[in-house]
Amino acid sequence: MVSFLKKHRVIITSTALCLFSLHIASTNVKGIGGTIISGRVISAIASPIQYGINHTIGAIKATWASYVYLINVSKENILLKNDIDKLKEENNQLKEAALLSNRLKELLAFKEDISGPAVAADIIGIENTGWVRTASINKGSSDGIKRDMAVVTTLGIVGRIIEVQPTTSKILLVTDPRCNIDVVVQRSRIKGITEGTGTNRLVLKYVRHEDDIQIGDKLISSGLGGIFPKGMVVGEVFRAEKGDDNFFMDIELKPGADLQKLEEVLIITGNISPMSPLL
Amino acid sequence: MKIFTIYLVLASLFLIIESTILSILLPSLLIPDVILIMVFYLAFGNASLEGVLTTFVLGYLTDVFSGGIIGLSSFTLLLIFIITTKLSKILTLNSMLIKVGGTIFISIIKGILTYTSLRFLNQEIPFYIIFPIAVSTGIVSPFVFALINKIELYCIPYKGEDKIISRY
Repeated sequence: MVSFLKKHRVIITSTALCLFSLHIASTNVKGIGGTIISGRVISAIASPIQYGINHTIGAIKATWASYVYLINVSKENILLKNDIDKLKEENNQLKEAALLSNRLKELLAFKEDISGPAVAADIIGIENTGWVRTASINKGSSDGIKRDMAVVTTLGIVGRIIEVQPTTSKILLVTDPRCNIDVVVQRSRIKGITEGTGTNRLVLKYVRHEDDIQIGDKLISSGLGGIFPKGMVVGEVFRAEKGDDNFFMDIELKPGADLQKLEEVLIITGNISPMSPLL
Repeated sequence: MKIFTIYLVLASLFLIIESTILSILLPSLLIPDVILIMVFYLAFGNASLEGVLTTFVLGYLTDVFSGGIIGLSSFTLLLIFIITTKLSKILTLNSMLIKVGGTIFISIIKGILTYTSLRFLNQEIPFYIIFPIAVSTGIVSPFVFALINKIELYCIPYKGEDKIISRY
């Protein structure tokens, strides 16, 4: 018996760990994140590096935009090259500051419109591999962030907080299959539920063939569930066809918020009354 | 323990790069699964308890880092590890075809396992995303194999040479 176990220890250990992993996965599928001590350690180590890399990429992009068009400069320009270089660098820093200022002004104006406290945060990492759609931000429990807080931009709902560390948090984006939002069609007031697909699209479920919905319709959150405030844009219909089951429609949406270009977001930290509108 | 440490550090670095640089440079469906390539390489030369535990930890690290379902990546990667240790008895990583083709095959198997597990856990994802990820993973695999090989040679010179002989 002992020699059998020794001979097949790799397979036995692999199988035992497989079953253990499957058990963890099946109990964890909806209990997203939770308080995992190893997650805190990993976040504490990884988030400063992610922040540093993102800043470096921003500087590289700024430098590339400034200098790529200087390659074929004339003799007269060569004489003035030092002055131009200094001015371009200064101009570029001012442009970046202006763009950042515009984005933050929009966010601040939006924050002042919403009826409740909110915290602004920077995106420091986006997870887009396979089917998972999450993003990391540079605010955590020390800034008042808690699980299940809604995350928004001026264009619409981004997602909700699923994991909180002292100085960082993780957002479950609306395009993740685990993110479901109760919505209403703005025009016809048809109710449904959106679900992420693991790609850059959402699907709208439980809309019947005879319901009034068409391409271009905007979907807003209904406020049910107490996580997402009422009246925020979730997405826009770009495909609506009759489903194969001859009862529900097959509807695809694009998210309201531009998830490919997320840089700053707002986290709504106040208590959300399920039916009261945000704006 | 050295193998475990090397793979843990490499996987952590890759996961950071994936969430910052790669997510900007590449569309999401073309980001290669480097963790899978590492497990594939590990299974070919280190079918031992250390390899099993390393695979389990790499899967756990992937899930914690990405915010996915904890345990899912460990489950699929361990199955891949078992399949690859069986395959390593009849194949060696000595040709480009085996490296690229084998990685694409294993990536598709992992995609199917992930899809099936998610369906079992009542989560739906599109099936087609498996294939572009498998192709990009296959294309990148020879470079990742070469990198891991060099790092192993540097950190574990004597054992590394043995590994080269046994794998190539």
